[in-house]
Amino acid sequence: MSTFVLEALLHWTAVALYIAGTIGFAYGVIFARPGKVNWALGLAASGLAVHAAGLLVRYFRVGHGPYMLKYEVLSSNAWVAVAMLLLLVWRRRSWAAIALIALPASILMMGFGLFTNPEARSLPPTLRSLWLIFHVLFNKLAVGAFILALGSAIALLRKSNGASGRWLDRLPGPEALEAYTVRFLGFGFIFWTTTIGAGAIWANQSWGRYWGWDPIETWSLVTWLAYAALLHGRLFFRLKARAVAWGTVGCFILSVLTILIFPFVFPSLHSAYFQ
Amino acid sequence: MLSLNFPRMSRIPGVIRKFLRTPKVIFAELAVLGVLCTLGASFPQQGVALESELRSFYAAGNWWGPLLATLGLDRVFRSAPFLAAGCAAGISLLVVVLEQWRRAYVLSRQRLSPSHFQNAAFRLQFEQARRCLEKQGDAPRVLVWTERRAGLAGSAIFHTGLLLVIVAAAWRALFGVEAVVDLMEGEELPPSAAAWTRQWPGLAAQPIRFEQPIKLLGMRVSHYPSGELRDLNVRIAVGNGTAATERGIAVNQDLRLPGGRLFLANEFGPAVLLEWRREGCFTNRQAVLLTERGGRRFEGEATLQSGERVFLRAQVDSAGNSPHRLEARVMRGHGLVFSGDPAVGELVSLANGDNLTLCGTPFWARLRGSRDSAVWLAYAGFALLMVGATLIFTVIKVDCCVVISPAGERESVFVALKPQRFAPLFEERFQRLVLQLRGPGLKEILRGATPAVLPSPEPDSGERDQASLGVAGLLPRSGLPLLVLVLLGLTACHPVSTERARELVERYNSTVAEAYRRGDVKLADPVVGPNESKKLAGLIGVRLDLGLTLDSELLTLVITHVERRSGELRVRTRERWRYRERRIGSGKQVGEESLDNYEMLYVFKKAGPAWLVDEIQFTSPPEVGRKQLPWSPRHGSMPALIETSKVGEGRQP
Repeated sequence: MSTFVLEALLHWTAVALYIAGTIGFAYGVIFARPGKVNWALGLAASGLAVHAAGLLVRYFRVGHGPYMLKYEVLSSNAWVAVAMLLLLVWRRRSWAAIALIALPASILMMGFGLFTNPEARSLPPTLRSLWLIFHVLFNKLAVGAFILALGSAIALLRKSNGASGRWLDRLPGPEALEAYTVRFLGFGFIFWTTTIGAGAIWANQSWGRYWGWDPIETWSLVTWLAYAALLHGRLFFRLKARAVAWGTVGCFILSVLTILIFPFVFPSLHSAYFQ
Repeated sequence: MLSLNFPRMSRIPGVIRKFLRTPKVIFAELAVLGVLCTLGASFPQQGVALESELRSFYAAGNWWGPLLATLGLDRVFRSAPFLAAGCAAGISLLVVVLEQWRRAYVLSRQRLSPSHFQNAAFRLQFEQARRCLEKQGDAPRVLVWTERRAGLAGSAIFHTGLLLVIVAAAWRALFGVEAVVDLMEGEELPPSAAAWTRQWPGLAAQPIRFEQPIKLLGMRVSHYPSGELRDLNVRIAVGNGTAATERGIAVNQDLRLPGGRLFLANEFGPAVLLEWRREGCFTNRQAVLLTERGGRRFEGEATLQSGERVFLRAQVDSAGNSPHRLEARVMRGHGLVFSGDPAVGELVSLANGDNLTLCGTPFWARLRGSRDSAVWLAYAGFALLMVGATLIFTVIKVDCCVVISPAGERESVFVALKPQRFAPLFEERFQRLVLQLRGPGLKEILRGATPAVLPSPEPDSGERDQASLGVAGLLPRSGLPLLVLVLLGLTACHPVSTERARELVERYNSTVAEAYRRGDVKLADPVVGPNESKKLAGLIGVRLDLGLTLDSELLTLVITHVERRSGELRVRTRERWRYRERRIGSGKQVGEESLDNYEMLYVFKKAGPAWLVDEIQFTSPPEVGRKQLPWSPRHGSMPALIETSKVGEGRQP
């Protein structure tokens, strides 16, 4: 079996396990079966391990981390999002319902990546920098935190609309949900700031300037400003919970556009590495 | 003691200062910057985008490309609105930073008292057997402490970092400079500004110029088997002649030189040295820089003075050696003049009699120069940004308060927790604290925590126990007002306040008065416990037997004391009542009306969420207005009730 086949097999196995985990979470949460949530957690964790193995095989095959192609970027983003989700659910079982949003989002991301060109590309000398690892790693962590914030915000919106149901009732109350949403946003904001900072240092090391108004740089700044405005509104100006939730959804859409869509729309230094 | 004096921002008038930190202004600044950045990111910008991108932007559509260019959307980051928004944001940020450091300083020095916990997110009062107040006369113990105080600085650090980044960016825009030059192997960059191909100096910056000449000695190129570039290194000589020193630079590995920093870019390739000779007319010499098209294939073209265009293509081998043979094509207009694969040094005779010679194929590399003396400031800003954001979201200041006061044979424990933010997330923390206080951890907490209100050293306090945490021990003599505040705070924090006691007594009286008026004891069920219910049933029943009801009105009510004791609430009152007996059916008054004054003790007991009256006593003999009862005691079997009604007019007790 070639390493490419092994890598693909591991990735698709991970997808299957994530789907099984999602079904388990849905059954456990909707029918109030905590035992099934444990099963679902186990399935998703197995998927995460298999997924990690797939990424490792890829790493040894191409000789660099997952930051060169859509295939690698999306797969590794999904891995980080699932890892953060499982960490949360492991610590707070009452949050299992968030898996019904975060896990399908990760599966979609991974599935989309798997249908793109998986051809291995070598690492150009510009990308051979320690700062690249920080830049990419914190970007993925930011995506994971924003996905959790999105899940929490959607649950908050449902609850504040008066919706109820077994899976919603198992989540914390609206006040706690709102606090968690803001905290996830905060972690995402820290990671996003670190992403920009690491990228700027790396740019200065490579080209002698830490900011060049490259379109994707600028979009990342716009996203940062949007999150900063939202967090300021909540932390300092007492923005209402529903406004925070809607703001979270809006900012998430903007961050997804910045990370996954705009590099293909606007000519940028980042575009070359995502094609 | 250290005294920090923060700048008072006296040069900025108060109105402007307030204006600059209002939420609407800050949001407006963020929104304007966001919109301008969005425009800048959406359209190709001068100085950022490639020339080809700009050309296609200007040529887009029939009218909207030129229109957008006329509106200045191709130079957003150099536009006046962007600079104005940046300046406004910077000044707002300065005001906010100074304000936040001042606030963080004040809060960090704040001496907390229990009254600070009136609006705490988590409060609980419970009673337990005496464990801390061992003796009857022990004074209450008050302990207030703060955890994770570092969290206070988070916002200030974050905004300071942002300010530093903006200052560094402004400095760079003014005094920074970037430059680019393409050098071939063996070529020298003289120590002059004009030697660079292009410079981008800041508004007030001098062009970049290294103090010594730089000569490109050689290049080392390596490729992956797939043909993609693996590594690029160049050797340069810095200085003149024999005094020159050899240095190496690579991609991501810059070189600091007097006058700036030198970087190696990714762009490189073979340069083709052409010599074009027309016998008796001219000799042209030209270097054509070939650029990579992928797979180690490099291409380039040149237009000669005589109008011919030369197209060249070369393949670099996997070892990174410069090519010895090239693919060449010469065109005049649309006509092909020459096509072939000449070797380096070979003389090619063209059909028109001209001669073309490939004199050499050295490598060329693109070098970038940069000078920015505020880079360290930007890096410091980035670091502070991250530290500040981390503190804001992970280190949350929490104020805690424990007050232990005597409650008869037991002690009452009041515990409160007030997080700076994200209060709902601290429920578990509060529960742990309560569990510690209920368990053996109580004494440990009292020993281990740092009291926020420390005993003041007093010259004549020799007899006072300095280690005591009692309220008296915590306060200097001049601190009596603070003691009052503490007690007021404690009262305010008490779950049953005087107002609440009044509410309970009034509710009880109005309900029972209605029960007497209607002759229906069941109406009083929501407010009385079983003991009082029995008494009321007897008293109302006696009147019903006589065909009477009692019409009563509470004229005044003064709460004189409220006390919580082992699950009971004891409320002492002074009351004034008006009573009239009425005949059932006609409603006619029977006998004279009475105006009575009582001093009462109500004993409430908790039943689920409600407080029920368990017992009522007179605390002093009642003053009864009328001299004669309207009905005579004929029921000898109920002397106690009749006797009671003599003093309380049959309503209560």
